[in-house]
Amino acid sequence: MQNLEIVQASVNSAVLESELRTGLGDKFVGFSTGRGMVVVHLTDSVTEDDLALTQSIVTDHDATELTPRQIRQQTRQQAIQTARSQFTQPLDATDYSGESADIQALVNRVIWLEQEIRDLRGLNES
Amino acid sequence: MAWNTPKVDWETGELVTATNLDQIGENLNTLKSPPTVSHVTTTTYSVNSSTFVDVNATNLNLSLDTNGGDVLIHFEGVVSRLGNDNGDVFFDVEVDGNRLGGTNGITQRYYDSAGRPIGFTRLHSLSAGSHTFKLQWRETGPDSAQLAASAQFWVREVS
Repeated sequence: MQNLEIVQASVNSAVLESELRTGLGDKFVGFSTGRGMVVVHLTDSVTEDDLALTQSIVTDHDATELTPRQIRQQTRQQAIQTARSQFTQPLDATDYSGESADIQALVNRVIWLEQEIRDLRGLNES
Repeated sequence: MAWNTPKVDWETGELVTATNLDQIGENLNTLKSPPTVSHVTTTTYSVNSSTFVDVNATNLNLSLDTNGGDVLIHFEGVVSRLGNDNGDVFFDVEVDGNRLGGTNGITQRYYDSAGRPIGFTRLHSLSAGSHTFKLQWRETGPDSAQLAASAQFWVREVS
């Protein structure tokens, strides 16, 4: 195995992994980071061109870029935060006292789920 | 300090020499301060590799001159995920170029967003001489695992 050390202080590991895997294929083993360096682990079959490519991929890496999956995760998280700011108070069953029995049963079930989720998130602790 | 094989064939009336006493003193000093090498990390390291690689080839690559016998190899630290995805992280030690553990190393644990402790202590027998000990790791998540600063890796000869 060959290790190539390259100065790069900031890394988005999922993006860098994808970039190196795309550029080097099976010659790419993995990478480590620490002390402002990226150490790329490569198979012994790499050529000088592969090493130059590795150098340019890591040097040009932009840690602020996100993978499509990270964008979806970020969007989902933002949606949750928005919903949390909209629904700050627990559901109140008395607001639905004039509704049908089925609706009231559903409201009670949602209240129960709210309490379970608040418990899981540690929000019921006083 | 070198270990001297203790003289165990004393005969009645045999005089104790200065060399004998020096050797006993040297052995006591060796027992008091056995060969030891240690490193405490001062930065975060991360890994994105399904194959075992060095945690850090400079700082976590220890050398120790031993007198022959058992050494204790110890590591402890705190791991978590670097990105958004959880996974498993595996640790091992490469002694003189050979990893001690199997496919999954010496120890492993699941990592996520929380800092979670991991460690091992391994007794290993070695011949007298100079030896190298490299801490290695790998992970299986789609993202990276990271090792927080203040992890410690040390080796001490114990017999």
